[in-house]
Amino acid sequence: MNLFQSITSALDNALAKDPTAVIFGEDVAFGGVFRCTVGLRDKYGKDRVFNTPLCEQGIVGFGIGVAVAGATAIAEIQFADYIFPAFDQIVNEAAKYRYRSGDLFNCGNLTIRAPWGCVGHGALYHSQSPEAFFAHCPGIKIVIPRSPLQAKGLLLSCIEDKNPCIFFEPKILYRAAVEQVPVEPYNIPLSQAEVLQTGSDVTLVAWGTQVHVIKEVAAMAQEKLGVSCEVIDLRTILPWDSETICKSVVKTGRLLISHEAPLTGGFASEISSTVQ
Amino acid sequence: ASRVMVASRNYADFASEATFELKKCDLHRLEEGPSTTAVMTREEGLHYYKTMQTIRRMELKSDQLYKQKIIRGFCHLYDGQEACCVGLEVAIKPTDHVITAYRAHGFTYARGVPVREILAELTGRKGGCAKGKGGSMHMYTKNFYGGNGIVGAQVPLGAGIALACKYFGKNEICLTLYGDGAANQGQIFETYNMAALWKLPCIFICENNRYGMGTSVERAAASTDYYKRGDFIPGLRVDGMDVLCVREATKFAAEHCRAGKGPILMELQTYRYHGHSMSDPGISYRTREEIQEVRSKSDPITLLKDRMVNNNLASIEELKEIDVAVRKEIEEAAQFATTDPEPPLEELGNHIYFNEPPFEVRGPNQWIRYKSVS
Repeated sequence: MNLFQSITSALDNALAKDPTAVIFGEDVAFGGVFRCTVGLRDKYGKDRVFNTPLCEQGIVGFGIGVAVAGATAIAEIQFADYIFPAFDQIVNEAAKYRYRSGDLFNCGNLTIRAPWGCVGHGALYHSQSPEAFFAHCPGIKIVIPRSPLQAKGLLLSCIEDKNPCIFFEPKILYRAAVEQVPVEPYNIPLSQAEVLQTGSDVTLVAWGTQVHVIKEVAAMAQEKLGVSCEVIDLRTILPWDSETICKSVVKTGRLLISHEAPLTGGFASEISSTVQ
Repeated sequence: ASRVMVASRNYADFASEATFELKKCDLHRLEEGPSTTAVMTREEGLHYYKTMQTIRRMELKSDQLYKQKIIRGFCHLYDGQEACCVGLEVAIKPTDHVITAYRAHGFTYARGVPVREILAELTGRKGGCAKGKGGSMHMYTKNFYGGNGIVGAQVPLGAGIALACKYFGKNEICLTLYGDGAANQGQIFETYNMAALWKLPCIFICENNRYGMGTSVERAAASTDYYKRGDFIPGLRVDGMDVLCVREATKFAAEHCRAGKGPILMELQTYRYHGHSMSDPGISYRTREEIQEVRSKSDPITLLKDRMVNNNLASIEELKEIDVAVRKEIEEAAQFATTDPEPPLEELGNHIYFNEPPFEVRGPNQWIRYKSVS
């Protein structure tokens, strides 16, 4: 399956297992602009997979309500670049719901999915990586997969997780990345980074599309410079697995973090300052 | 003025002007609407025709260049909706202000940017109107504020421009455009409230082309009477395929604003032949028959042509000559757009901030620096 098919498979599993699960967002009914929801409306009915008008703040606010009332809400924001009208809802409402109601209410059933990252021709408003903005907010979880196999497991974990989650899907990989993915549901734990390749000289950390870039870099470094790189996919941005990263840096003594988002205040700054 | 290449023709053959009956506009909270008759002079007709035809050919040329991969990125074409931007432009003054969303090539031209600069901007060359750094969705010129990518975000901006107009007291107004999809965004309603509260000279214009990307208006809006959505703001629904209807309605709305009566809302019922953008074939959510029907019955350029010929304001040959001149202009502009050099790499970091001393911007890694000058 490629990435969008693995997402569809995950959503299919989620809707099959959880009768309260609903998917909504702009254009999801016909399958979505990236075909992540193809076939789901026919299979589960139009009361479970439905379109919303063009209103991100409304979509997320509505999703919070659905989640608080007890149903599982899977909201799609058409591009991560459009998530900003919903920023207030996510940061002020979703993230703090459980805390401010003293655990009486929560919107843990909410998962927000959005295509993320550069795609070559996206320019200002179809390429953004806003994970750093949300990382500053306690109460939510942010997850970014690097491949179809990872995406399905991580998405199912997000949907089942009892906290509001934001799941960013690297849009450039939707069709480009293909892997063998099991059809049955399976989970990949959140807040656990994955060491893809062990090494001894330097630790390379990335997430999403960049993981593939640093893998290539590690191979080139080994071949041309004889440098042994430890490659780590962070997977969950918030709460992030500082233990794995720090353990690795203690071993290698050097850390390089690569991400698509702007440098200043990007998530690499959080990782590097913690490691220091 | 129209630049018609007519060599030896007897102008006395043509009428100097004609009067036309227009469709009545639906009104909301208005006692009377714009005039249902309009007078169009020969010069005006030729001007509207040339402008609309230029926009039409420019958009088709962009389509061609996009398919040849000379234009990259996103491209949202305006063909079918030409009567809207032309009708609006001729009813306001160059000192008035216009702001719209991303389907902006027609407005950019109407507001005075030459075709070559528009096409060069699409191809990302330094001769483009935004120096090649904006592209399709970010074109600007004097009193035209773009060209905005985020749907609905330009509407509060438009109200702000209107406030500045009121504040400076120069009797200017602001035309704030958005589409039927954007009409469901929350910030639009926040803007309606502010504009009405402070009586801002703002004409809100909803270009209803029946589809918000791939979603038809019936499936997106609880009320498709977009001209009534302003609730406490008076509104009118206008036939957006008839350039004269748009012109008269805009004149009416402009007078309303200039008289200090506050904002007014116009819904232009129009249609786009292309899909939402160049990556959308435009037929998965509507039928080819529907597109064909609009093209044959309501095409704005054909409507104008028929009116002019039937009322002896111009001859078919004359209009054909205009077509030829327009085609030539577009070809030359496309030539320029494909051969002009791209902006130099030194300019990549410019204009991030407004600053006197130039500063350095980090590139994709710590060791690449760009100088930022403004």
